[in-house]
Amino acid sequence: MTPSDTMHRRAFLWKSGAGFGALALDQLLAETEEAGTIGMSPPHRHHPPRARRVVQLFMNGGVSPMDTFDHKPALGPLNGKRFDPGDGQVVESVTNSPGFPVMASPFAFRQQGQCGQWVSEVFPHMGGMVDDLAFLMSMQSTSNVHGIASYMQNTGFALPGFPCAGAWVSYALGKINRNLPEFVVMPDPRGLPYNNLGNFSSGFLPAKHQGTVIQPTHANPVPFLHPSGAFPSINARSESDGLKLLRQLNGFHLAYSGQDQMLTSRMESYENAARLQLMAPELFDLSQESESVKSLYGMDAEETRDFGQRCLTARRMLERDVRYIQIWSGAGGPSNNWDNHSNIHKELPWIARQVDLPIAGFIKDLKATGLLDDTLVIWTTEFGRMPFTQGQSGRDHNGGTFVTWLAGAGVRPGTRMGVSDPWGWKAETPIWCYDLHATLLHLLGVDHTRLTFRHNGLDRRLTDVHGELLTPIMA
Amino acid sequence: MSPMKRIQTLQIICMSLLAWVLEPIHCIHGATSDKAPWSFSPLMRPPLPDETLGSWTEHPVDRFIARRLKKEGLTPSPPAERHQLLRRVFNDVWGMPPLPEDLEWLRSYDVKQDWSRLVNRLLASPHYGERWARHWMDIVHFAETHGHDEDAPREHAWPYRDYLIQSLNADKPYDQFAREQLAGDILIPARAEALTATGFLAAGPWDESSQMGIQDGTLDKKLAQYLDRDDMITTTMSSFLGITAHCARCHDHKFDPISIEDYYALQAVFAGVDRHDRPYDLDTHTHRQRQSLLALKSNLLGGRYPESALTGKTARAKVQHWIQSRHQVLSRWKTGTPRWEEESATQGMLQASDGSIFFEEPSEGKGSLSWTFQSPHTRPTAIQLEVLPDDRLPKKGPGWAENGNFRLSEFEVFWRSDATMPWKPVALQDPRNDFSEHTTSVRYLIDGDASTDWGILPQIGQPHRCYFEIKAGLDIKKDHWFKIVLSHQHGNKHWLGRCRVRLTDMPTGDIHPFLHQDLQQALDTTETLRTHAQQLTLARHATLTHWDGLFEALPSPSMVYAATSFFPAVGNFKPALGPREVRRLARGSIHSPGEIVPPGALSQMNWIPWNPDEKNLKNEGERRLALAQWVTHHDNALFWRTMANRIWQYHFGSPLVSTPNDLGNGGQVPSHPELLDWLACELRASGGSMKHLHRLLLNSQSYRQQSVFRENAAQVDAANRYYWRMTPRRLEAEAFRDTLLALTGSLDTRMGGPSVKQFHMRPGIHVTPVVDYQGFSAQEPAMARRSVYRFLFRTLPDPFMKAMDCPDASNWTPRRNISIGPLQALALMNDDFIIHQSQLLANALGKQHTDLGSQVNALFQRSLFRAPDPMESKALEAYARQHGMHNACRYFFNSNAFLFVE
Repeated sequence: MTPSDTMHRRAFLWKSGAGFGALALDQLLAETEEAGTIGMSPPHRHHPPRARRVVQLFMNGGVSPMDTFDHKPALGPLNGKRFDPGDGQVVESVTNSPGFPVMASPFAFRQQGQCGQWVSEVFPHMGGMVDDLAFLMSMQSTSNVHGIASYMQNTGFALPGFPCAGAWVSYALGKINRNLPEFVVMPDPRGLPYNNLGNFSSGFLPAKHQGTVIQPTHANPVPFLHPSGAFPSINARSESDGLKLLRQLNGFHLAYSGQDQMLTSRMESYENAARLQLMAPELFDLSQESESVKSLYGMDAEETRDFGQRCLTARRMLERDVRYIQIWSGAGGPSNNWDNHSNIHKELPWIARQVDLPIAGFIKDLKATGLLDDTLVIWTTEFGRMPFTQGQSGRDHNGGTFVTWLAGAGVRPGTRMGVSDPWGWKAETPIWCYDLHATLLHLLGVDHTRLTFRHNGLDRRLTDVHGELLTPIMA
Repeated sequence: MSPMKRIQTLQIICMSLLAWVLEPIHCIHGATSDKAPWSFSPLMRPPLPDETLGSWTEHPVDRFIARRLKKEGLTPSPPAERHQLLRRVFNDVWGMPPLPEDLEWLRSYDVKQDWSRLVNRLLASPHYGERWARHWMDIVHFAETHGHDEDAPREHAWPYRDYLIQSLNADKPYDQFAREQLAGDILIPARAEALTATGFLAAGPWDESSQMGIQDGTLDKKLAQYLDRDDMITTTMSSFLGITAHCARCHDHKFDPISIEDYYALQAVFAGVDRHDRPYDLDTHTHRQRQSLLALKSNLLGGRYPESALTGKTARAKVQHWIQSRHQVLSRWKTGTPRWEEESATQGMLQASDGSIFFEEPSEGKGSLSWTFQSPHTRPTAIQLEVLPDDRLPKKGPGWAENGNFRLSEFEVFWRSDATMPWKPVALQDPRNDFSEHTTSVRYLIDGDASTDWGILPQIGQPHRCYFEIKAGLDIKKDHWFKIVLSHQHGNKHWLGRCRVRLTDMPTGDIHPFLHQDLQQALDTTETLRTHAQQLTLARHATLTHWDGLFEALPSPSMVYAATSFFPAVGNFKPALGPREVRRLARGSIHSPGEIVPPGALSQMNWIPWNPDEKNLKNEGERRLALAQWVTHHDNALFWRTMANRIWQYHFGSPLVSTPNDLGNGGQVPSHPELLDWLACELRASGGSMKHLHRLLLNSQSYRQQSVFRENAAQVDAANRYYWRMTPRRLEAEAFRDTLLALTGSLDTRMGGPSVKQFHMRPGIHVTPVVDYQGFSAQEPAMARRSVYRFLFRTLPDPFMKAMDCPDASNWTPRRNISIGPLQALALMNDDFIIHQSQLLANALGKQHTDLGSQVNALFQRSLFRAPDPMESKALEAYARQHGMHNACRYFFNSNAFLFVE
């Protein structure tokens, strides 16, 4: 299906009014005031928040730090020589290539902005934004394996089955918008990341906290928003009348079964579903955006169009108070992502170009619209890469050190913390996913040590038993 | 905090973090409690309370419940009505309403008068096992893919599910049920069913990238193995004993008397097992034969086979036989005299007397070598490439690279009958070899892709071989010409230094030329000069070959994904062949191994004997058997209490101990401790009959109360902890699906067998396949099977089932969440399956009744066992008139009256 087909089909669905579309918008909005839970104090807020919403940009596959943000001039003279960190330290690599010859970055670096952050030529646009960003220069992961490391960054645990940060935030803070899910995930259309849906799972938290996968380029961008097939008898009237029927049936049921919170909540959930159906088309309709905004996001160029469209959609979601948005660059598997094993010269600039302009445009737009004042943006990945080559000119996985940056609400822009060793092999001052998660929760007004959920005999936390606030980069 | 201070703090944190490495600490630190929890105490049958409440006089359960209700000043609810009871009991026991064919016999039951008879009838139906097996699958986190990033399907996990259904339907004594799941293969070696039971230990996720990708002996690999056993420990101890032993992985348990030593003793119990497909045979005789052969083979490879059996006359005869057949095989591998090809690289080639060729040092980084020779055979079946060490090569080769390696990109073979004919490529297939460097493969020699190759690092200085079958189709005769082209595109002088190419004409099943170095040496040594060790090596190999012959004579087996100590290696995933060494890891860190820990159970519970056959502890099965016996011991109160609590939970909607996987000090105390103990005693005294317990609970008045909400009672006990009413329950994902299928009469009632994939599946870019649920038609026959037979994908679960709280099988689910939200509402309204089933039901109703009123009436009678209230009927009729009965059914399925069982 070509994009225009997709658009056409979607437009058709909406124009034909499948769903509750025929219900008067003001009627629905009027009803929410009494029905919704909005405005109730969040279940687990412990102090006044700095940020209201979060956007996480996840670069799937492991971004090479020494080819992007972590300039390592010491690698230059060592280029081609066998990597030896000294002191008898053992060098191990996951995929066990022999030799470990050092590979200096083939990309030119220069210092950018007032803060003087080094940025390589693969990120020309992000390079221009460094004074808005705060860099964590020495994130460390306990694992060199994609699956485990992705779980670490998303859920704080190296094992599957734990809730991810977005689910914890949804659980902690409840709803702030009436019409859209609290936690939205926009995967790369080329494929789901490592662990598939496992990275967005609600784990042992109730299923309503799981990430809702939204694919703006799909015919049915929200799961189950409409029937997937064509059913002529299911139309706007049948659905709006159906909602009325449900109200009648449930009202009667409630009368004879007695007041029960579960039953009333279910009735509300249908009203919310109706509003979601009503609001979704407008949310994804980018025709309302000006050409200059679209080009700011790179939607006018082939290679940046997709990521730009997802970033722009994210901005529209932020405007509608979606609490937590995750945007993925890169699919799982050996290619189409940041897992640059075979040729860093070719593979890295290719994937970097797809996100560089859109991300810079996104930050600029959030600044211009004021959304950045209460939105926290996090750019991250699951691990870094080795300072030596694998095969001819690739780099292997390295949990030793990698770079993450933050921007927006509660972040002190133009700062950085943490140092990696002279080769970018290991962090000298490791910063952990726990610290990032603790900070994220803190900025949202949640004390990570007090946000717990009892499961299988333990009070589980997003940060396990760890977590230190990243004070130096906090405003 | 200043940045410097921050860094210092971080360093301190990091020191300890580095020590933990892979997230081992997930428990709260603190001092051990020696205080045994209430649940450890011996199980004694409490006296029945004297209290009665109204008509609640007879049934023991009612008397326990009545006592507590009285104490709290509560009164029970009136008896439920016929329609409520029917819906409740069918949902509870079958997980779906009666099928059309059940309506006939059901009519002969007066629900209130014949209640016990009805209960018995429902429990006797095989639908009972299908319903209750699913509960157990939640508890043990069963699914049919590995989970993690390489989420490969397990096509043979289903026999464990069938084992559960059959065992429950047969009312297998609970202790036996448990023992079989832990060690059925050891306990009843002759019974295939008992082997499939060990699917229990394999039910959870498995980290394929770590287990298959990482080499043995590395820390990463050991860690993956510890974590794998951790999953087995947690599944075992939580499911059967309701105890959080996994909390003692890094330190002594904070709340319960479980020491870190206890935890590693449990690790040692599972130290010999992995998860893998395991053969079994439905024919008892074959099963016994195969399993004893496998045990022999495992013992021999694991060094537990008696030496005497390898030195006797029979063993010697086997060796003689094997040597003879080997000579025959080898004598057919022949070569021809090479002639250089002009297009070959410039370096010289020297032929040796053994038919091998030495290539002189290359001057280029990359290039090809080529030569021709005459076929030694008519109709050759396979071609072999041997790469050989040579003193002239770096590190003895076989390659010219500095480290002695080579990287061969392509191995091309051409044929022509004589010099006048053009060369034709010879198609090769089924490559095999003795060793490949990580990430290289001999498959790459014939893949036409010059960027992939084969190397042999780090096994330098040794001979290696690969061979390929020659695809039939060419009329190759003796003395026809072959041309070989060896292509080297890796660079860095990764050229081959010495090799030999030979052909055979033996049938391809019998040509295997690879021998381990020791074996080859033993074979090459004159019989009289062979050392004792060499004789043993030969005897071992000949015995294995003999057994392989016996295996081949057996019919092909069935497979189950289960716990196993013996399986063919896949990549770096190899069987332990005997328990792996387990060390006590200080703070759970792989970097801090302490002393070796022998197998054991919870030392605090010393009144339950830990009785393994000490002599036999090298056999991992003995360890599991000892644990199975310990867990299911008559005096292990945890065992009986945990299950009594679960059975209560699934009937009453909430358990007596609200943390069913934690009956320890960190969990909740029971709302009715005496009742729990009384039920646990009943379970034990009845010989572990779960059906006895079902009967007991279902026949109580407490179970048959109404579910109507009462404000005054709710003020005292909103959560209904004291059971003043029946808790209304939303249909679970499976019950919802199955109920629709049952109502529309479209249920496919076939039981068991391979799971139905209710999705399209195609290969993904890596290990995990691409799975499409949305595109899978609701009308596919696979959709009509009961939900328990669905293929369960761990990281790609069915979106509809997930929306209905079907649990994430990456984790244990002793109690399901009941979530409510707009996405669930959308799923219930718009899922194709529901739309399709609504249509089917409307069609069926339309066939039976012409007028809408009767159709609505039938809809209610069929699904809710009652007539609709005039108001319900009016609303539905009016809607159906306008939008069709199918839409009316669809919204009815979304109504609380339908979704909640009262």
